[in-house]
Amino acid sequence: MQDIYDKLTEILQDVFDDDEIVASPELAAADVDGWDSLAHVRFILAIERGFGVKFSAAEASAFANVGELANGIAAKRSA
Amino acid sequence: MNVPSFPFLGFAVLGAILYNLLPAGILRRGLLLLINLIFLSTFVHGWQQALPYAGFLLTGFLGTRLLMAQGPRWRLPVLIAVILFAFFWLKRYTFIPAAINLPFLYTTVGLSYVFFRVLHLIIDAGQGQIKERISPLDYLNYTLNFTALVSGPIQFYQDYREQERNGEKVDLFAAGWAAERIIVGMFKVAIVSTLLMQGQKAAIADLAVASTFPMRVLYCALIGAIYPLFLYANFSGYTDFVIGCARLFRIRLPENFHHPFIAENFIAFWSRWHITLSNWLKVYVYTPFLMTAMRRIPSPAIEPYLAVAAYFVTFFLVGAWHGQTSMFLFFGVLQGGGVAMNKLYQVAMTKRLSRKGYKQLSAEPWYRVFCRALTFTWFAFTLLWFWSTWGQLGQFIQQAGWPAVACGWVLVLLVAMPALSLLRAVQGPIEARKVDPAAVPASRYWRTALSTAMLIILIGTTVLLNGPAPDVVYKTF
Repeated sequence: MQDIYDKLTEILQDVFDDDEIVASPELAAADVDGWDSLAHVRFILAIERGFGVKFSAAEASAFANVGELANGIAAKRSA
Repeated sequence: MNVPSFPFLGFAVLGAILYNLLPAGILRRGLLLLINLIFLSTFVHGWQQALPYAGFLLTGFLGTRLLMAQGPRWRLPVLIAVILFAFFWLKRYTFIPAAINLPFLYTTVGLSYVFFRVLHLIIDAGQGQIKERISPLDYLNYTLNFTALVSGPIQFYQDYREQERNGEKVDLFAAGWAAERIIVGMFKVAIVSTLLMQGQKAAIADLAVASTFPMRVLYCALIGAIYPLFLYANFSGYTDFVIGCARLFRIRLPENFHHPFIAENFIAFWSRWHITLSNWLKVYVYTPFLMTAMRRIPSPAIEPYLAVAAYFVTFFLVGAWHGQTSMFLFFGVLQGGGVAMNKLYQVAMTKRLSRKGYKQLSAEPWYRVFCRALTFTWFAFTLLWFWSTWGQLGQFIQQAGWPAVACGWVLVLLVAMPALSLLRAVQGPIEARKVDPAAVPASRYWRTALSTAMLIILIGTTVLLNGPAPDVVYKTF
Protein backbone atom coordinates (compact mmCIF):
# COMPACT_ATOMS: atom_id res chain seq x y z
CA MET A 1 0.00 0.00 0.00
CA GLN A 2 2.89 2.37 0.75
CA ASP A 3 3.93 2.34 -2.92
CA ILE A 4 0.43 3.58 -3.84
CA TYR A 5 0.70 6.47 -1.36
CA ASP A 6 4.19 7.37 -2.63
CA LYS A 7 2.98 7.52 -6.20
CA LEU A 8 -0.17 9.44 -5.18
CA THR A 9 2.07 12.01 -3.47
CA GLU A 10 4.00 12.45 -6.72
CA ILE A 11 0.80 12.87 -8.73
CA LEU A 12 -0.75 15.25 -6.20
CA GLN A 13 2.36 17.44 -6.18
CA ASP A 14 2.39 17.51 -9.98
CA VAL A 15 -1.35 18.19 -10.49
CA PHE A 16 -1.62 20.85 -7.77
CA ASP A 17 1.84 22.28 -8.39
CA ASP A 18 2.71 22.08 -4.70
CA ASP A 19 5.75 20.17 -3.35
CA GLU A 20 4.41 20.28 0.20
CA ILE A 21 1.43 17.94 -0.37
CA VAL A 22 1.82 14.45 1.03
CA ALA A 23 -0.80 11.78 0.33
CA SER A 24 -2.39 10.49 3.54
CA PRO A 25 -5.61 8.51 4.07
CA GLU A 26 -7.47 11.48 5.60
CA LEU A 27 -6.41 14.02 2.96
CA ALA A 28 -9.52 15.40 1.21
CA ALA A 29 -10.33 18.04 -1.43
CA ALA A 30 -11.07 20.68 1.20
CA ASP A 31 -7.49 20.38 2.53
CA VAL A 32 -5.78 21.22 -0.77
CA ASP A 33 -5.75 24.67 -2.30
CA GLY A 34 -7.23 24.64 -5.81
CA TRP A 35 -8.85 21.19 -5.59
CA ASP A 36 -12.03 22.06 -7.48
CA SER A 37 -14.09 19.84 -9.80
CA LEU A 38 -11.76 20.44 -12.78
CA ALA A 39 -8.65 19.67 -10.70
CA HIS A 40 -10.39 16.55 -9.41
CA VAL A 41 -10.93 15.19 -12.93
CA ARG A 42 -7.35 16.17 -13.84
CA PHE A 43 -6.14 14.25 -10.75
CA ILE A 44 -8.23 11.16 -11.57
CA LEU A 45 -6.95 11.08 -15.17
CA ALA A 46 -3.35 11.44 -13.93
CA ILE A 47 -3.97 8.47 -11.61
CA GLU A 48 -5.37 6.44 -14.52
CA ARG A 49 -2.19 7.12 -16.50
CA GLY A 50 0.12 6.59 -13.52
CA PHE A 51 -1.37 3.34 -12.25
CA GLY A 52 -2.73 1.93 -15.51
CA VAL A 53 -6.29 1.68 -14.12
CA LYS A 54 -9.58 3.17 -15.27
CA PHE A 55 -12.37 4.75 -13.23
CA SER A 56 -16.00 5.32 -14.16
CA ALA A 57 -17.44 8.79 -13.55
CA ALA A 58 -19.49 7.45 -10.62
CA GLU A 59 -16.35 5.96 -9.04
CA ALA A 60 -14.37 9.15 -9.67
CA SER A 61 -17.05 11.18 -7.88
CA ALA A 62 -17.45 8.80 -4.94
CA PHE A 63 -14.03 9.09 -3.27
CA ALA A 64 -14.36 11.12 -0.08
CA ASN A 65 -10.61 11.16 0.65
CA VAL A 66 -7.25 9.84 -0.53
CA GLY A 67 -7.61 6.75 1.69
CA GLU A 68 -10.72 5.62 -0.23
CA LEU A 69 -8.98 6.43 -3.49
CA ALA A 70 -5.92 4.34 -2.53
CA ASN A 71 -8.21 1.44 -1.60
CA GLY A 72 -9.97 1.79 -4.96
CA ILE A 73 -6.65 1.69 -6.82
CA ALA A 74 -5.50 -1.36 -4.84
CA ALA A 75 -8.79 -3.16 -5.59
CA LYS A 76 -8.53 -2.41 -9.30
CA ARG A 77 -4.92 -3.56 -9.48
CA SER A 78 -5.68 -6.85 -7.78
CA ALA A 79 -8.80 -7.52 -9.91
CA MET B 1 -52.33 14.07 -0.28
CA ASN B 2 -50.40 17.34 -0.04
CA VAL B 3 -46.84 17.48 1.26
CA PRO B 4 -46.43 19.15 3.70
CA SER B 5 -49.82 18.96 5.40
CA PHE B 6 -51.31 17.74 8.67
CA PRO B 7 -53.03 14.74 6.97
CA PHE B 8 -49.66 13.68 5.51
CA LEU B 9 -48.02 14.14 8.90
CA GLY B 10 -50.68 11.98 10.57
CA PHE B 11 -50.22 9.33 7.89
CA ALA B 12 -46.42 9.39 8.29
CA VAL B 13 -46.52 9.25 12.11
CA LEU B 14 -48.97 6.34 12.12
CA GLY B 15 -46.87 4.53 9.52
CA ALA B 16 -43.68 5.20 11.50
CA ILE B 17 -45.16 3.79 14.72
CA LEU B 18 -46.13 0.54 12.97
CA TYR B 19 -42.79 0.45 11.11
CA ASN B 20 -40.75 0.77 14.29
CA LEU B 21 -42.84 -1.83 16.13
CA LEU B 22 -42.06 -4.49 13.53
CA PRO B 23 -38.78 -6.44 13.58
CA ALA B 24 -36.20 -5.52 10.92
CA GLY B 25 -36.45 -7.58 7.76
CA ILE B 26 -39.07 -8.59 5.25
CA LEU B 27 -42.06 -7.59 7.42
CA ARG B 28 -40.81 -4.08 7.98
CA ARG B 29 -39.82 -3.62 4.34
CA GLY B 30 -43.19 -5.05 3.26
CA LEU B 31 -45.00 -2.53 5.46
CA LEU B 32 -42.92 0.28 3.97
CA LEU B 33 -43.94 -0.82 0.48
CA LEU B 34 -47.58 -0.82 1.55
CA ILE B 35 -47.20 2.72 2.95
CA ASN B 36 -45.47 3.89 -0.25
CA LEU B 37 -48.22 2.39 -2.42
CA ILE B 38 -51.03 3.84 -0.29
CA PHE B 39 -49.46 7.28 -0.60
CA LEU B 40 -49.04 6.94 -4.38
CA SER B 41 -52.63 5.72 -4.71
CA THR B 42 -53.91 9.03 -3.31
CA PHE B 43 -52.83 10.62 -6.63
CA VAL B 44 -54.39 7.93 -8.84
CA HIS B 45 -58.04 7.74 -9.87
CA GLY B 46 -58.58 4.39 -11.58
CA TRP B 47 -56.09 1.63 -12.37
CA GLN B 48 -55.58 2.83 -15.95
CA GLN B 49 -54.03 6.07 -14.66
CA ALA B 50 -51.31 4.07 -12.93
CA LEU B 51 -50.33 1.90 -15.90
CA PRO B 52 -47.77 4.24 -17.57
CA TYR B 53 -46.10 4.86 -14.18
CA ALA B 54 -45.97 1.11 -13.52
CA GLY B 55 -44.56 0.51 -17.01
CA PHE B 56 -41.80 3.07 -16.40
CA LEU B 57 -40.89 1.43 -13.10
CA LEU B 58 -40.94 -2.06 -14.61
CA THR B 59 -38.65 -0.95 -17.49
CA GLY B 60 -36.22 0.48 -14.95
CA PHE B 61 -36.25 -2.66 -12.85
CA LEU B 62 -35.78 -5.07 -15.76
CA GLY B 63 -33.05 -2.81 -17.18
CA THR B 64 -31.19 -2.73 -13.88
CA ARG B 65 -31.38 -6.51 -13.48
CA LEU B 66 -30.30 -7.05 -17.09
CA LEU B 67 -27.26 -4.81 -16.66
CA MET B 68 -26.21 -6.59 -13.47
CA ALA B 69 -25.82 -9.82 -15.46
CA GLN B 70 -22.83 -10.41 -17.75
CA GLY B 71 -23.39 -9.22 -21.31
CA PRO B 72 -22.37 -6.90 -24.16
CA ARG B 73 -21.49 -3.26 -23.39
CA TRP B 74 -23.99 -1.73 -25.84
CA ARG B 75 -26.83 -2.56 -23.44
CA LEU B 76 -26.03 0.41 -21.18
CA PRO B 77 -26.38 3.22 -23.79
CA VAL B 78 -29.48 1.53 -25.23
CA LEU B 79 -31.16 1.30 -21.82
CA ILE B 80 -30.20 4.88 -20.96
CA ALA B 81 -31.83 5.96 -24.24
CA VAL B 82 -34.96 3.91 -23.46
CA ILE B 83 -35.34 5.47 -19.99
CA LEU B 84 -34.73 8.99 -21.35
CA PHE B 85 -37.29 8.50 -24.12
CA ALA B 86 -39.87 6.99 -21.74
CA PHE B 87 -39.46 9.96 -19.39
CA PHE B 88 -39.78 12.63 -22.10
CA TRP B 89 -42.72 10.76 -23.62
CA LEU B 90 -44.64 10.39 -20.36
CA LYS B 91 -43.93 13.99 -19.38
CA ARG B 92 -45.15 15.09 -22.86
CA TYR B 93 -42.11 17.23 -23.72
CA THR B 94 -42.87 19.47 -26.70
CA PHE B 95 -40.23 17.85 -28.95
CA ILE B 96 -42.06 14.51 -28.71
CA PRO B 97 -44.68 14.31 -31.53
CA ALA B 98 -48.15 14.82 -30.07
CA ALA B 99 -49.43 11.98 -32.26
CA ILE B 100 -47.68 9.39 -30.08
CA ASN B 101 -48.89 10.79 -26.74
CA LEU B 102 -51.09 8.47 -24.69
CA PRO B 103 -54.74 9.38 -25.30
CA PHE B 104 -55.81 9.32 -21.64
CA LEU B 105 -55.00 11.04 -18.35
CA TYR B 106 -52.43 9.35 -16.16
CA THR B 107 -50.48 10.17 -13.03
CA THR B 108 -46.94 11.55 -13.21
CA VAL B 109 -46.58 12.62 -9.58
CA GLY B 110 -42.90 12.66 -8.63
CA LEU B 111 -41.96 11.05 -11.96
CA SER B 112 -39.07 13.49 -12.45
CA TYR B 113 -37.54 12.34 -9.18
CA VAL B 114 -38.29 8.66 -9.85
CA PHE B 115 -36.55 9.18 -13.22
CA PHE B 116 -33.33 10.35 -11.51
CA ARG B 117 -33.37 7.32 -9.21
CA VAL B 118 -34.05 4.84 -12.02
CA LEU B 119 -31.40 6.35 -14.31
CA HIS B 120 -28.87 6.28 -11.46
CA LEU B 121 -29.61 2.57 -10.91
CA ILE B 122 -29.29 1.82 -14.64
CA ILE B 123 -25.94 3.62 -14.96
CA ASP B 124 -24.49 2.24 -11.74
CA ALA B 125 -25.64 -1.31 -12.57
CA GLY B 126 -24.08 -0.98 -16.04
CA GLN B 127 -20.79 0.23 -14.55
CA GLY B 128 -20.65 -2.47 -11.88
CA GLN B 129 -21.25 -0.04 -9.01
CA ILE B 130 -24.11 -2.08 -7.54
CA LYS B 131 -22.65 -5.17 -6.02
CA GLU B 132 -25.69 -7.05 -4.77
CA ARG B 133 -28.86 -8.15 -6.55
CA ILE B 134 -31.75 -5.72 -6.14
CA SER B 135 -35.02 -7.35 -5.13
CA PRO B 136 -38.37 -5.98 -6.43
CA LEU B 137 -39.18 -4.96 -2.85
CA ASP B 138 -35.97 -2.95 -2.41
CA TYR B 139 -36.33 -1.42 -5.87
CA LEU B 140 -39.89 -0.22 -5.25
CA ASN B 141 -39.16 1.03 -1.74
CA TYR B 142 -36.19 3.01 -3.07
CA THR B 143 -37.85 4.51 -6.15
CA LEU B 144 -41.24 5.17 -4.52
CA ASN B 145 -40.03 6.22 -1.04
CA PHE B 146 -43.12 8.23 -0.05
CA THR B 147 -41.24 10.82 1.99
CA ALA B 148 -39.19 11.90 -1.05
CA LEU B 149 -41.54 10.96 -3.89
CA VAL B 150 -43.13 14.32 -4.67
CA SER B 151 -40.08 16.60 -4.87
CA GLY B 152 -37.03 14.74 -3.64
CA PRO B 153 -34.41 14.99 -2.26
CA ILE B 154 -32.63 12.56 -4.60
CA GLN B 155 -30.86 9.90 -2.57
CA PHE B 156 -28.43 7.44 -4.12
CA TYR B 157 -29.42 3.77 -3.83
CA GLN B 158 -26.29 2.69 -1.94
CA ASP B 159 -26.91 5.36 0.68
CA TYR B 160 -30.63 4.49 0.91
CA ARG B 161 -29.94 0.77 1.31
CA GLU B 162 -27.36 1.37 4.02
CA GLN B 163 -29.82 3.57 5.92
CA GLU B 164 -32.63 1.07 5.54
CA ARG B 165 -30.45 -1.74 6.88
CA ASN B 166 -28.53 0.05 9.59
CA GLY B 167 -30.63 3.16 10.19
CA GLU B 168 -30.37 4.74 13.62
CA LYS B 169 -33.11 3.81 16.07
CA VAL B 170 -35.78 6.43 16.73
CA ASP B 171 -35.23 7.36 20.38
CA LEU B 172 -36.60 10.39 22.19
CA PHE B 173 -33.77 12.60 20.95
CA ALA B 174 -34.30 11.53 17.31
CA ALA B 175 -38.06 12.05 17.61
CA GLY B 176 -37.46 15.56 19.01
CA TRP B 177 -35.02 16.34 16.20
CA ALA B 178 -37.54 15.10 13.62
CA ALA B 179 -40.38 17.08 15.21
CA GLU B 180 -38.30 20.26 15.08
CA ARG B 181 -37.51 19.79 11.36
CA ILE B 182 -41.16 19.01 10.63
CA ILE B 183 -42.47 22.11 12.45
CA VAL B 184 -39.82 24.41 10.97
CA GLY B 185 -40.55 23.02 7.51
CA MET B 186 -44.31 23.46 7.79
CA PHE B 187 -43.85 26.96 9.19
CA LYS B 188 -41.59 27.94 6.29
CA VAL B 189 -44.06 26.65 3.69
CA ALA B 190 -47.36 27.66 5.29
CA ILE B 191 -46.40 30.99 6.86
CA VAL B 192 -43.13 32.40 5.50
CA SER B 193 -43.51 31.42 1.86
CA THR B 194 -47.22 32.33 1.83
CA LEU B 195 -46.46 35.82 3.19
CA LEU B 196 -43.64 36.31 0.70
CA MET B 197 -45.84 35.20 -2.18
CA GLN B 198 -48.53 37.66 -1.07
CA GLY B 199 -45.85 40.37 -0.89
CA GLN B 200 -44.73 39.68 -4.45
CA LYS B 201 -48.32 39.62 -5.72
CA ALA B 202 -48.97 42.98 -4.02
CA ALA B 203 -45.83 44.46 -5.64
CA ILE B 204 -46.99 43.21 -9.06
CA ALA B 205 -50.42 44.80 -8.53
CA ASP B 206 -48.89 48.05 -7.25
CA LEU B 207 -46.53 48.30 -10.24
CA ALA B 208 -49.53 48.48 -12.56
CA VAL B 209 -50.76 51.65 -10.85
CA ALA B 210 -47.44 53.22 -9.77
CA SER B 211 -47.26 56.78 -11.04
CA THR B 212 -43.78 57.93 -10.03
CA PHE B 213 -40.39 56.68 -11.26
CA PRO B 214 -38.98 55.88 -7.76
CA MET B 215 -42.05 53.80 -6.94
CA ARG B 216 -41.75 51.86 -10.20
CA VAL B 217 -38.07 51.18 -9.39
CA LEU B 218 -39.03 49.99 -5.90
CA TYR B 219 -41.77 47.64 -7.16
CA CYS B 220 -39.49 46.21 -9.87
CA ALA B 221 -36.86 45.49 -7.20
CA LEU B 222 -39.44 43.90 -4.90
CA ILE B 223 -40.92 41.71 -7.67
CA GLY B 224 -37.47 40.41 -8.59
CA ALA B 225 -35.97 40.04 -5.11
CA ILE B 226 -38.91 38.49 -3.25
CA TYR B 227 -39.24 35.43 -5.48
CA PRO B 228 -35.91 33.73 -4.60
CA LEU B 229 -36.72 34.24 -0.91
CA PHE B 230 -40.18 32.75 -1.46
CA LEU B 231 -38.78 29.79 -3.40
CA TYR B 232 -36.17 29.14 -0.72
CA ALA B 233 -38.77 29.19 2.08
CA ASN B 234 -41.13 27.02 0.05
CA PHE B 235 -38.69 24.37 -1.20
CA SER B 236 -36.35 24.24 1.81
CA GLY B 237 -39.46 24.11 4.05
CA TYR B 238 -40.74 21.10 2.12
CA THR B 239 -37.27 19.51 2.41
CA ASP B 240 -37.08 20.12 6.18
CA PHE B 241 -40.50 18.52 6.54
CA VAL B 242 -39.72 15.35 4.56
CA ILE B 243 -36.27 14.96 6.17
CA GLY B 244 -38.02 15.02 9.55
CA CYS B 245 -40.67 12.49 8.42
CA ALA B 246 -38.06 10.14 6.91
CA ARG B 247 -36.06 10.21 10.17
CA LEU B 248 -39.08 8.63 11.89
CA PHE B 249 -38.54 5.70 9.49
CA ARG B 250 -34.81 5.52 10.47
CA ILE B 251 -33.77 7.09 7.16
CA ARG B 252 -31.58 10.17 6.92
CA LEU B 253 -32.41 11.82 3.61
CA PRO B 254 -29.63 13.99 2.14
CA GLU B 255 -29.83 17.75 2.71
CA ASN B 256 -30.91 19.88 -0.25
CA PHE B 257 -29.93 23.37 0.97
CA HIS B 258 -26.95 24.82 2.78
CA HIS B 259 -27.28 28.57 3.35
CA PRO B 260 -27.40 29.28 -0.43
CA PHE B 261 -27.62 33.07 -0.22
CA ILE B 262 -24.22 33.44 1.42
CA ALA B 263 -22.52 31.81 -1.62
CA GLU B 264 -19.90 34.13 -3.11
CA ASN B 265 -20.11 32.92 -6.70
CA PHE B 266 -22.63 31.17 -8.91
CA ILE B 267 -20.76 27.85 -9.02
CA ALA B 268 -20.66 27.79 -5.21
CA PHE B 269 -24.33 28.79 -5.13
CA TRP B 270 -25.29 25.62 -6.99
CA SER B 271 -23.40 23.52 -4.45
CA ARG B 272 -25.71 25.01 -1.80
CA TRP B 273 -29.08 25.13 -3.65
CA HIS B 274 -31.03 21.98 -4.64
CA ILE B 275 -27.84 20.14 -3.72
CA THR B 276 -29.03 16.63 -4.56
CA LEU B 277 -30.04 17.62 -8.10
CA SER B 278 -26.78 19.44 -8.85
CA ASN B 279 -24.83 16.60 -7.25
CA TRP B 280 -26.67 14.03 -9.39
CA LEU B 281 -25.89 15.99 -12.55
CA LYS B 282 -22.29 16.49 -11.43
CA VAL B 283 -21.84 12.70 -11.10
CA TYR B 284 -23.74 11.65 -14.24
CA VAL B 285 -23.24 14.61 -16.63
CA TYR B 286 -20.42 16.97 -15.64
CA THR B 287 -17.77 14.42 -14.62
CA PRO B 288 -18.30 11.93 -17.50
CA PHE B 289 -18.48 14.82 -20.00
CA LEU B 290 -15.25 16.33 -18.70
CA MET B 291 -13.44 12.99 -18.31
CA THR B 292 -14.31 11.98 -21.88
CA ALA B 293 -13.37 15.38 -23.31
CA MET B 294 -10.05 15.50 -21.42
CA ARG B 295 -9.17 11.97 -22.49
CA ARG B 296 -9.78 12.90 -26.14
CA ILE B 297 -8.12 16.33 -25.99
CA PRO B 298 -5.17 15.93 -23.59
CA SER B 299 -4.05 19.56 -23.57
CA PRO B 300 -3.54 21.46 -20.27
CA ALA B 301 -4.18 24.76 -22.08
CA ILE B 302 -7.60 23.61 -23.31
CA GLU B 303 -8.72 21.86 -20.08
CA PRO B 304 -10.21 24.94 -18.34
CA TYR B 305 -12.32 25.66 -21.44
CA LEU B 306 -13.54 22.06 -21.52
CA ALA B 307 -14.64 22.59 -17.90
CA VAL B 308 -16.49 25.76 -19.01
CA ALA B 309 -18.33 23.70 -21.66
CA ALA B 310 -19.08 20.92 -19.15
CA TYR B 311 -20.47 23.48 -16.68
CA PHE B 312 -22.67 25.01 -19.36
CA VAL B 313 -24.13 21.66 -20.45
CA THR B 314 -24.70 20.48 -16.86
CA PHE B 315 -26.44 23.60 -15.62
CA PHE B 316 -28.37 24.12 -18.82
CA LEU B 317 -29.87 20.69 -18.08
CA VAL B 318 -30.56 21.74 -14.47
CA GLY B 319 -32.65 24.62 -15.79
CA ALA B 320 -34.24 22.86 -18.75
CA TRP B 321 -35.29 19.90 -16.58
CA HIS B 322 -37.74 22.15 -14.73
CA GLY B 323 -40.26 22.32 -17.57
CA GLN B 324 -41.27 21.76 -21.16
CA THR B 325 -41.69 25.38 -22.35
CA SER B 326 -39.31 27.88 -23.99
CA MET B 327 -39.26 29.81 -20.67
CA PHE B 328 -37.55 26.91 -18.95
CA LEU B 329 -35.15 26.38 -21.86
CA PHE B 330 -34.11 30.01 -21.51
CA PHE B 331 -33.90 29.55 -17.73
CA GLY B 332 -31.49 26.68 -18.47
CA VAL B 333 -29.43 28.89 -20.80
CA LEU B 334 -29.13 31.48 -18.02
CA GLN B 335 -28.11 28.86 -15.42
CA GLY B 336 -25.57 27.27 -17.79
CA GLY B 337 -24.39 30.68 -18.98
CA GLY B 338 -24.02 31.89 -15.39
CA VAL B 339 -21.78 29.05 -14.22
CA ALA B 340 -19.83 29.01 -17.52
CA MET B 341 -19.14 32.77 -17.26
CA ASN B 342 -18.20 32.28 -13.63
CA LYS B 343 -15.65 29.60 -14.58
CA LEU B 344 -14.30 31.70 -17.48
CA TYR B 345 -13.86 34.63 -15.10
CA GLN B 346 -11.98 32.41 -12.61
CA VAL B 347 -9.69 31.15 -15.39
CA ALA B 348 -9.03 34.69 -16.68
CA MET B 349 -8.39 36.11 -13.21
CA THR B 350 -6.07 33.24 -12.28
CA LYS B 351 -4.09 33.92 -15.47
CA ARG B 352 -3.99 37.63 -14.85
CA LEU B 353 -3.29 37.71 -11.10
CA SER B 354 -1.78 34.19 -10.57
CA ARG B 355 -3.52 31.69 -8.30
CA LYS B 356 -2.18 33.37 -5.18
CA GLY B 357 -3.18 36.86 -6.32
CA TYR B 358 -6.72 35.77 -7.21
CA LYS B 359 -7.03 34.00 -3.88
CA GLN B 360 -5.97 37.19 -2.09
CA LEU B 361 -8.53 39.22 -4.05
CA SER B 362 -11.25 36.66 -3.27
CA ALA B 363 -10.50 37.07 0.45
CA GLU B 364 -10.95 40.88 0.40
CA PRO B 365 -14.05 41.77 2.47
CA TRP B 366 -15.39 44.35 -0.03
CA TYR B 367 -14.97 41.86 -2.88
CA ARG B 368 -16.80 39.12 -0.99
CA VAL B 369 -19.69 41.47 -0.13
CA PHE B 370 -20.02 42.50 -3.79
CA CYS B 371 -19.76 38.93 -5.16
CA ARG B 372 -22.34 37.63 -2.69
CA ALA B 373 -24.81 40.34 -3.73
CA LEU B 374 -24.08 39.81 -7.43
CA THR B 375 -24.70 36.05 -7.08
CA PHE B 376 -28.07 36.66 -5.42
CA THR B 377 -29.04 39.31 -7.97
CA TRP B 378 -28.13 37.09 -10.92
CA PHE B 379 -30.11 34.17 -9.48
CA ALA B 380 -33.12 36.41 -8.83
CA PHE B 381 -32.86 37.73 -12.42
CA THR B 382 -32.73 34.20 -13.92
CA LEU B 383 -35.80 33.22 -11.88
CA LEU B 384 -37.91 35.64 -13.94
CA TRP B 385 -37.96 32.87 -16.55
CA PHE B 386 -38.90 30.34 -13.87
CA TRP B 387 -42.03 31.94 -12.43
CA SER B 388 -43.40 34.21 -15.14
CA THR B 389 -44.25 34.01 -18.83
CA TRP B 390 -42.93 35.93 -21.85
CA GLY B 391 -46.25 37.83 -21.91
CA GLN B 392 -46.01 38.76 -18.23
CA LEU B 393 -42.40 39.93 -18.65
CA GLY B 394 -43.45 42.14 -21.55
CA GLN B 395 -46.23 43.57 -19.40
CA PHE B 396 -43.83 44.42 -16.53
CA ILE B 397 -41.50 46.20 -18.93
CA GLN B 398 -44.40 48.09 -20.47
CA GLN B 399 -45.70 49.17 -17.06
CA ALA B 400 -42.33 50.12 -15.55
CA GLY B 401 -40.26 51.15 -18.59
CA TRP B 402 -36.70 49.96 -19.26
CA PRO B 403 -34.97 52.62 -17.08
CA ALA B 404 -37.03 51.65 -14.01
CA VAL B 405 -36.39 47.93 -14.67
CA ALA B 406 -32.61 48.54 -14.90
CA CYS B 407 -32.60 50.75 -11.80
CA GLY B 408 -34.69 48.11 -9.98
CA TRP B 409 -31.97 45.51 -10.48
CA VAL B 410 -29.28 47.97 -9.37
CA LEU B 411 -31.37 48.55 -6.24
CA VAL B 412 -31.55 44.77 -5.61
CA LEU B 413 -27.75 44.58 -5.89
CA LEU B 414 -27.22 47.55 -3.55
CA VAL B 415 -29.63 46.30 -0.87
CA ALA B 416 -28.32 42.73 -1.14
CA MET B 417 -24.82 43.88 -0.14
CA PRO B 418 -25.59 44.89 3.48
CA ALA B 419 -28.50 42.44 3.83
CA LEU B 420 -26.46 39.37 2.83
CA SER B 421 -23.46 40.58 4.87
CA LEU B 422 -25.74 40.56 7.89
CA LEU B 423 -26.97 37.08 6.95
CA ARG B 424 -23.34 35.93 6.55
CA ALA B 425 -22.50 37.36 9.98
CA VAL B 426 -25.26 35.21 11.51
CA GLN B 427 -24.96 32.05 9.41
CA GLY B 428 -21.16 32.03 9.02
CA PRO B 429 -20.37 31.05 12.63
CA ILE B 430 -23.18 28.45 12.56
CA GLU B 431 -21.77 26.98 9.35
CA ALA B 432 -18.25 26.91 10.78
CA ARG B 433 -19.75 25.30 13.90
CA LYS B 434 -18.32 28.09 16.03
CA VAL B 435 -21.54 28.56 17.97
CA ASP B 436 -21.25 27.39 21.54
CA PRO B 437 -23.82 24.59 22.01
CA ALA B 438 -24.53 26.01 25.44
CA ALA B 439 -25.33 29.46 24.05
CA VAL B 440 -28.97 30.50 24.34
CA PRO B 441 -29.87 30.42 20.58
CA ALA B 442 -28.44 26.90 20.24
CA SER B 443 -29.84 25.49 23.48
CA ARG B 444 -32.59 22.91 23.32
CA TYR B 445 -34.79 24.98 25.66
CA TRP B 446 -34.72 27.94 23.27
CA ARG B 447 -35.26 25.70 20.24
CA THR B 448 -38.17 23.92 21.94
CA ALA B 449 -39.77 27.26 22.81
CA LEU B 450 -39.28 28.53 19.25
CA SER B 451 -40.70 25.36 17.70
CA THR B 452 -43.69 25.50 20.07
CA ALA B 453 -44.35 29.12 19.10
CA MET B 454 -44.14 28.18 15.41
CA LEU B 455 -46.55 25.29 15.95
CA ILE B 456 -49.08 27.52 17.74
CA ILE B 457 -48.92 30.10 14.93
CA LEU B 458 -49.18 27.31 12.36
CA ILE B 459 -52.22 25.66 13.93
CA GLY B 460 -53.84 29.03 14.67
CA THR B 461 -53.38 30.19 11.09
CA THR B 462 -54.57 26.90 9.60
CA VAL B 463 -57.71 26.86 11.76
CA LEU B 464 -58.44 30.56 11.19
CA LEU B 465 -57.94 30.49 7.44
CA ASN B 466 -59.51 27.05 7.03
CA GLY B 467 -58.06 26.94 3.52
CA PRO B 468 -56.30 24.19 1.59
CA ALA B 469 -52.72 23.27 2.51
CA PRO B 470 -50.23 25.56 0.72
CA ASP B 471 -48.62 24.15 -2.41
CA VAL B 472 -44.98 23.35 -2.95
CA VAL B 473 -43.63 24.83 -6.20
CA TYR B 474 -41.50 21.79 -7.04
CA LYS B 475 -44.52 19.48 -6.87
CA THR B 476 -45.26 20.28 -10.51
CA PHE B 477 -41.80 19.27 -11.81
